[in-house]
Formats: sequence, structure tokens, C-alpha cells
Amino acid sequence: MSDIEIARAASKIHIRDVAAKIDIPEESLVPYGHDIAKINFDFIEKSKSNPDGKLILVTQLALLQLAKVKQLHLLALMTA
Amino acid sequence: MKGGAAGGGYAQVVPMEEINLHFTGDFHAITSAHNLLSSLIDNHIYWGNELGIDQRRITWGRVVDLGDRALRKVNVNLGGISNGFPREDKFDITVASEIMAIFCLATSIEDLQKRIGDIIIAYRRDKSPIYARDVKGDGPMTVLLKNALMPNLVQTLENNPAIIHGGPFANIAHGCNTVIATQTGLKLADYVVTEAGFGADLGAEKFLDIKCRKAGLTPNVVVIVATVRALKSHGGVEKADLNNENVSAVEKGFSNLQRHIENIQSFGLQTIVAINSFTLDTEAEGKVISEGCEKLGVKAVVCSHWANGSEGTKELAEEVVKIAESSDTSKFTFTYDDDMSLEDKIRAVAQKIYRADDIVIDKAVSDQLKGFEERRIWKTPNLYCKNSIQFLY
Repeated sequence: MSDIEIARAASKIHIRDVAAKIDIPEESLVPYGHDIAKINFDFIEKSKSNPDGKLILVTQLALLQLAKVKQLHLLALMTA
Repeated sequence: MKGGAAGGGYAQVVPMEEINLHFTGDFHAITSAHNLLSSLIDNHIYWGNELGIDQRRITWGRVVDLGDRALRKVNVNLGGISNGFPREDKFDITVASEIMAIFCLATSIEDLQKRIGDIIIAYRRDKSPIYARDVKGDGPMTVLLKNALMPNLVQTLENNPAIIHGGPFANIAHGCNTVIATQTGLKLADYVVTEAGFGADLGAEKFLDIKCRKAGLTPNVVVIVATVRALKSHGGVEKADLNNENVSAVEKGFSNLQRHIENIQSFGLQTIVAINSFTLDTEAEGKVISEGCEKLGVKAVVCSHWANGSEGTKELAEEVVKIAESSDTSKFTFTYDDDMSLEDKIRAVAQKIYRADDIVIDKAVSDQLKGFEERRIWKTPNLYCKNSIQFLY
């Protein structure tokens, strides 16, 4: 399957359920349809007292024609 | 993440089409804010030019959210007295806008307004700078960006949260997503994975020297993605021959990866190499990479996420977590200090990251650097642009 076919066939969950996974309440979301939401500033301000998680930077060996591989890693790591 | 890029195969963010198209309209807001300032400049000149803007020295152009060659250089204010004073102008693509770069470094709406106010838009005949705040652009431009500054939440194919926010060019800007997105992510999740545009030399350098410095961030681990094909290519193999096994080319090309590893280590950071596997890679080729990495005290892990989604990076994720939990971030250092001269900063990056012996600066450029220093710009991190030619050796 091509990238776009895989993306279209994805079984997405509602954005409020995605948000719930990282403890963002529904009222702190500014929804743009079912799959996209902005996170409002009140919530961001409140969350500033939380401890920081670990930051992982994904970078790559530089070769322009092969640049896409890094992004795949980023996304795979995010899901793993 | 930025531009038309939402991953590939079984490692993607969705809804991919919306993300790559209009998404939440942030880029359009940036386009509007940028062009509002452009129109304020021409309007100011039209109504008498109280600030004394030298029309030959207006540095602020216009932007459009596509790369339109026909608009790179244009004449504006044509059509007679009521339309103003004709002059030459330019269009850049929105992602190259200074507003985009600023937007991604802003820590709050107030900070965004201050940064916008500080933009130099033009010079007077006596070459003194004129700022966006002088034409009262900062307030209304910030209002246009108010909603855009809220980070966007989407999901991966496996329904995990992903924040996608901002997209400055990685070649002429810092190439990182917004500081607000990264900081928010860190407050909400145990592990935040982010990327820096382009290679570990340019992209990671700017992420570390600019974004991390400005936002007070320290990565707990840096993952360097490599492919056997890329190393073969660095080892001198032509594109048409990349599918054939060539162990000696991988050995030769490894010196490129080695420099990237050493560069990341020069920041005092822990790193790990992820080998993005292709079906035609051979075991012998992979072994060259893992053994080479081992000599440098770095682990290399083979990944197959394009075909297998997250399952393909499970081992990598486990190793990354192990390093992240145990890494000492107190050794994090930058390539150059804020209070060094611009020339010394450029020299530091050229020598430490690109291994140049020294730099030669043309007089026109050194005059310009002096001009920047006389104003206020020298205490900020530098931004380096480069073409696709990397280390040569």
C-alpha cells in the first residue's frame, strides 16, 4: 500500500481520547473536527508546574535524497 | 515536524492530508501577519514617511505559501499617485518568513509580540535601523497569530498523541518545531521525541545551539538515524549501484557517521545510532556499522518501522529509554558562547562541527557582521545556512 492509502485506512480515535492519554481534559481542547485539536493556553499554563519528561532528539546522517528516513524514525519511536 | 511531511509506510501521523494541506490554518495566519507588516511599511511611506524609511533599503518583503518563482522579484506600488511610490520588492515562501522562525522560538504570546516588535524592517539614509514596532506592526500581527500559537494535537497511526506545530525552513532558519510544543509535550508525557531538520551537522547543531539555548532545553538522548545505503553513498557508490552489497564502501562511508557521532558527543550528550534497514542490506554491511559504533562507545540498533510500524523500533525504544533514564545532562555545552564575536562564533561552528582549518571572510561580509555587532544582534545564537554538500574528506 502507498503512504496515502495507509494513512486513509488508519483507524483513528477521537481527538479527545488521544488527549486523554496525556491527561488533557476535553475542555482544554479547541477542536478542529474529530481528528485535530489545539491545546489551549490556560491548560498549558496550568501544566507548567508538572515535572519535565525526557527529551529525545532524532537526527540523521545528512543525505538530502534520503532525508525522509529520519521522519519515519521519529514517528515510529513515538509509537513504540 | 513541518512542510509536506507526515512520515511514511506504517510510521505516519494522521489525518495526513489535512496536516500536509491547510491543517489548522497556522501557516495562513503567519502569511497574513507577515504581509500585514509589508503593507504597513508601504502605507507609512505613502502617508509621508515620517520615519524616513530609505525605500532602497527595505529588508522586509512579502510571503506566499508556495514557492512561486515568478514572484521572487516584483515591482510594487504601480498604478499612479494614489497607489504609492513604485519600488522593487520580493516574495519568499511562508516557511522562510522571519515570522515563522520567531513564532517557533516564542515562549508566550507576550514574548511573541516583543520578538515581532524587534524585527528590523528597513534602514534610513543614515543606515540606522527601523523596527516593526516603529510602524506599530507588533500588536496587530500578534493578534493575527493568537490562535495559531496554540499547539496542534493529532495522532500516530497507532493512536498515540503527536503535537505538530510550526515549520521553519531547516536550511535558512532553525528548522525546529515550536518551543511551546516541545515544552508542553515535556509537561505532559514521560518521553518526548522531537526532530531537527536536515542532518546531524546542521539540524542538530541549530536545535542544540539555538532552540535548546533559547528555551532552556537539554535532550536526554540523541538518536542518529543512518542507513547502509547512505553510508555506501558516502563511500563513493553511485545511486544505481546502491542495491549491491559493498562492504568496503560502507567501511569508507562510516567516517561520515563517525563525525556525526563525535559532533553530538562534543555537546556532552549521549547518543545512539538507529540503522534504518532496507530489504537489500546485508548482514556484513550492518556489522560494519555496529562494530564501528561500538568502538566509539555508541550502540547501534537495526530498525524496520517503515514495514512494521512501532514493532520495528521496539529494541531502539528500549535502548533509548535506558539511556534517557541514566544520562547525565549536566555536561551539556554549546558550540560557542553567547558573548563571543560573530566571527568567532562562525569559526567555532566551522571548526568544531564541519572540521574546517579556519574561515576566510570577505570584506563585504565582515562589514555586515560589524554592522550587526554595533547594533544588538551579537548576543544571539547564529544561524548557519548550507547547501547539500556536507563534510568533505
